Amino acid sequence: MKILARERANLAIMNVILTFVSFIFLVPFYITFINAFKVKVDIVSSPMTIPFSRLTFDNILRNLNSPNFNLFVGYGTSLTLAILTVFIVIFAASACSYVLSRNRKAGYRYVYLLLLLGLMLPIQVILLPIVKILRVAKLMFTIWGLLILYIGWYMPFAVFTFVGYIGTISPQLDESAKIDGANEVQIFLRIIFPLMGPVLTSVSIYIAVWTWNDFVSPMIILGSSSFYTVTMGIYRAIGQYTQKWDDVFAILLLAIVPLIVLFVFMQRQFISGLTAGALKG
Amino acid sequence: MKSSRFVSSALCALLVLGTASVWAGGKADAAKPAADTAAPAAKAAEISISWQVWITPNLTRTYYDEVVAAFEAKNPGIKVKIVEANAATSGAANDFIKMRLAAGDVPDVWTNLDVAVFAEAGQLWEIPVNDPDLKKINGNPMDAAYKGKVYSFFPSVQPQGCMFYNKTMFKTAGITTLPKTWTEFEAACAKLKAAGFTPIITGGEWVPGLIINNVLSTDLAKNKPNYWTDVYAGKATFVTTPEVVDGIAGLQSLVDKGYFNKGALSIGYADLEGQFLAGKAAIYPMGSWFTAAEAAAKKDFEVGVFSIPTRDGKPSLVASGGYGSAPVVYAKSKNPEAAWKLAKFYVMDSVYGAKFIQVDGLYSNLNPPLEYPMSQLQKDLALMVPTAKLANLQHRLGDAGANGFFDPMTKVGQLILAEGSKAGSPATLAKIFDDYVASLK
Amino acid sequence: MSGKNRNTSTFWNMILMLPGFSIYVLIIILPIFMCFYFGFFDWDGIRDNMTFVGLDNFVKALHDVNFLTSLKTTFFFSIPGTLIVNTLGIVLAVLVNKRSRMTNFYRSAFFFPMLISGVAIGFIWKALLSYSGVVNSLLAYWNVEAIDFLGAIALAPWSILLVNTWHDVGFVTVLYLAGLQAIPSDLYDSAIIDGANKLQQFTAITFPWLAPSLTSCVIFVFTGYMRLYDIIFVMTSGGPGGATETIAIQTIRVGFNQNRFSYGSSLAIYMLVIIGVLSVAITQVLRKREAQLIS
Repeated sequence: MKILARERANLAIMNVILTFVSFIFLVPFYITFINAFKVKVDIVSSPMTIPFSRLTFDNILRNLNSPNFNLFVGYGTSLTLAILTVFIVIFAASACSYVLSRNRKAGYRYVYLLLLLGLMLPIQVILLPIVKILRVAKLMFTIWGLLILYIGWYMPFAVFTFVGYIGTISPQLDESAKIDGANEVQIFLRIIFPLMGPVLTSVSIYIAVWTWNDFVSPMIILGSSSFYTVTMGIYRAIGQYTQKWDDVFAILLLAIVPLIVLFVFMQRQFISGLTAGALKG
Repeated sequence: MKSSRFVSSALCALLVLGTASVWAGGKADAAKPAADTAAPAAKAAEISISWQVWITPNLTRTYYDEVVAAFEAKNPGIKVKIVEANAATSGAANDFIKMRLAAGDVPDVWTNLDVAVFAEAGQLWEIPVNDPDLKKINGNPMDAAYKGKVYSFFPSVQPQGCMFYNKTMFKTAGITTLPKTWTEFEAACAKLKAAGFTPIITGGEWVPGLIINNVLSTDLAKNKPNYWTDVYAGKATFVTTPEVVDGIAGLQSLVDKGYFNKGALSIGYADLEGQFLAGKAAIYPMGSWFTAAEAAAKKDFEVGVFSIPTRDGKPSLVASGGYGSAPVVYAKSKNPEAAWKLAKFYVMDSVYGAKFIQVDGLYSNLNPPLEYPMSQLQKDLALMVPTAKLANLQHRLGDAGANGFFDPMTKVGQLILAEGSKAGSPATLAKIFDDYVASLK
Repeated sequence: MSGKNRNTSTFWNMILMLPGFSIYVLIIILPIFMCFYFGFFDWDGIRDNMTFVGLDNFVKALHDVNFLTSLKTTFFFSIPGTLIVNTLGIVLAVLVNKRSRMTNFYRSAFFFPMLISGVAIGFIWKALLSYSGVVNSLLAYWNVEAIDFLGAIALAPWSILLVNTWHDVGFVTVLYLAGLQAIPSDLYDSAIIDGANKLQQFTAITFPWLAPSLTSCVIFVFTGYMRLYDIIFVMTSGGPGGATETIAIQTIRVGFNQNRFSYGSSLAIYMLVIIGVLSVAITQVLRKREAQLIS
């Protein structure tokens, strides 16, 4: 009985700590949310409180109805980009990772190290050369140009994560399949890929979120073409000279809301994907 | 994942891919700039130019659309396409234009960038100096020359070395005359502090750069109008220039005596303005664009202005010649004349030119000047404008300033505000400027 | 394997590897080469032409005090940052890896910062930490004097470190969680039978089996912090007085704000080399460890 009590006490303490930690993670989000509906004076004077009598939708509406920003085009573009990027990266990177995980010698090792380079520079440094390349490829100011950029940019992250995961899948499976006459592509498609559930889910979500939130690259690559992402349209309003907090928070909220909606819906998949075998611990 | 689920999700992906590409492809074709492929037979006389505009809270897209509509009405045959740049990714339009140059799709008319930088790089179109419209500008068109060639002009004057002050607080603290020398200025601050007010308010980010720029330029513009030329010729260094060293020392002294607001460096520009208007401090060193916000703000005190004090008490108000506020034309524009017309229209038109300077609190440099309804503060400042010196370290003091000089200025300004004398001796800090100029060679 | 088998193996490997890798080469490797190439000239990023200056830029960079200082600042972020983020990440992942009602909530909470972009995070935390911001208002409420989190030269780097670790812990927690799923549960079962307690289970089974995830997460966080830009740019822009200026901020400022693209490129190449050498070293060490632990 003593052991049980101590275990329960430990559990309780852990829950308290975890809850506290969770609040630290959530507080900035809480601030964004409530301040999006407050008048500027209230935001500045008491950012943490909720003055129920003075809440307003004005901030949100004002920023939705800009004449040169069509919400549907914005969301449509962002969504298309996110979906396409995720699908292409997932397939291309997982295939590549399989090869790199199982082959660590010679040329493959150099490919792996070359992929490291993509993690070492902030994108702004290479953006100008990328623009020149896309110009030659006649892809500037198109969605395809931006898509290619995202695929190239997220390859290293995806490959490294996948390689890390495939490392835990026993090569015995490969061997037995080879004995049965399967080639590498078949082994990948039939055996490895289906086993990568959890890591495919997490990487997909990250890439989707990052693509959705990005605004520097779309602003430069898409420029003033008829397409614009949500964040592009939205970040037009945040400038160096502005800290119109009522606009800023409303804008941030508009940018985050679809992701949260997605997250809430995908919670089940996400959780089951991530904790497929969580019967331990 | 079972294989059936895999197959169905792959099909899903293909469908999405297919639809998206058809949709995107169709729209993208429609979106491609029609430019040169537009049916030439349709409107033979129609010229199409593009205008890179600078979007700010005051200069909105709607405003620019109005300007374009008015321009097109007065100039049938010219169509203007607007390309937006804003401060989301950089402080001026420089980086935006650089990307466009790399992308091969360059607007014809550019606004709000460092003219000297692009002139040096040979990307600007020389404006016709004999254009009769230029006679409307005060002064000689060659005043705006860069290395002997003219790419822009000064349609407006932007006083920068202003010290705005809270009249009520000055009265309460017993300050009856406005300070002209630095000593008088410190004495006034002491009185304000004794009366329980925060004497001076300033902020972080680029603001310290502005402060030190204006403080140093005030004496330099008066005493050494060809300063940059001397520096480039090796005849002067920042470390050995008394105006520079004394200016730095003066600022450090203010910091040491606690005359600045606490936590200045973490206040952003818009907050800063708001705090002064809310009556949080007595003196607000800032440029004249503040007057536009002041005119619109609700407050319970009056704002006055005096220029940054000098060592010897002789007045000197530094101003930027709006160098860069007049649009410039791309060297390789296909329709430079049409672009030039737009550039002139934007700042010289009787209606829109006036709106432009009103929105930013500028002063017209035209003859006759463009007028707009001025607030009392703007009228007060207007009295000082005729004697303002069109020069500050960042833009121009005898010759164009060093490329990107604002960066070391911001750094030194921040160091001074953060630590006062503890940041180093004036000579040590001045050396940072010299090191920077040396590194450019 | 016979020669023929090896060749077909390679053939299929190429089919798998090349699509993704080629796009990567086009978008990342080629631009890096271009930057390297530009470093040998004096290009300002604007002109139509440029003059060859050989190694001038690269030599100048070696004497550049600002660059070296920014390197030191960057290490201040990357070394503690990598340690803190990964330690917390593993701990949280292990704590949260159960099926219980609260863990859904925790998982969501840790993940939330990732939904917001770096720039937005910077804005939000700036509102919290600025001198007249939320945290100081709370302190004032308790009669504590306000702290200049972002404006004091000594404090600013710590504030930046705090915000970045806050943002990234969730990121690695999720990846470690995924990694935990790959650990065969029978290992735990036999350990429990052998009487191992939680701590022993962790050190003997969990931690070693997390080695592959550890490798990738350490590399992500380390390289991410070595090239820290977005959040710092929004919060302090490298200030005050250069206290939070990382090499990324320096390089981009020099290359763009100061209109010295070629010199900025040479700084970027040095940045690449430094991060590259360190990352390769770290990767080799961790991969070796991986191979040892999981066989």
